[in-house]
Amino acid sequence: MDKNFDFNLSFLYEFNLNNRITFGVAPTYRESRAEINYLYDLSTYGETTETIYDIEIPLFVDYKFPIMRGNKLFVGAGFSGLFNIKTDSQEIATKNTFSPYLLFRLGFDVVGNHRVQFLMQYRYNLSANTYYDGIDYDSFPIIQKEYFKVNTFDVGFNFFF
Amino acid sequence: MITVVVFTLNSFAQESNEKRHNFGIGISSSLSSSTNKFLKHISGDGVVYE
Repeated sequence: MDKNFDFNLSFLYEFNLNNRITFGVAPTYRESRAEINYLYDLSTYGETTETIYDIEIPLFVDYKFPIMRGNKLFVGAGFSGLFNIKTDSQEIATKNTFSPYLLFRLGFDVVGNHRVQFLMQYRYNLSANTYYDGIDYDSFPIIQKEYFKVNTFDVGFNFFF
Repeated sequence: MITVVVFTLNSFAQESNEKRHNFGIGISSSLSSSTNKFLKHISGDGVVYE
């Protein structure tokens, strides 16, 4: 499986313990376009492009370096659970599954009237329990199970009210 | 001059001790992804191919 497009939309809640340490949760809707190879029969592979929908609940801690007032570089780490939403198509069915992730974060805060945050985040998939079934509708019935580990490098912006 | 310096330091101190709750919206995209997979094939008669 190769992901070729990924859009993520998050709702953010942060608790700033002080100027340096922040705890947060960011429920995220993830929509991915993925090219999936599937087994057409025991010797032939097919390929399909599917949209995969996930809900992710990341928990994180950020440490901000007070380099200058207002603008702050930060690093962080976290843990998240990815819940795949079941979808069906002719060849591929994604399942309701749960995948744990480790998060490594690096970003920069720009504080004006509202705070804008530039965030880079590496997501490391701890266990490969996201899987997809390939379904063959011919007379030779095959149930194919593919277990994936998907690590991503995300870049985005956070806007605070 | 001394007053200004003291005022600035005091502002930093207040900022660092402040506890706040913040809410926001985030958008992001994956610049890259890497994938590995484990395949298991189960035929209709129950034979498992790994």
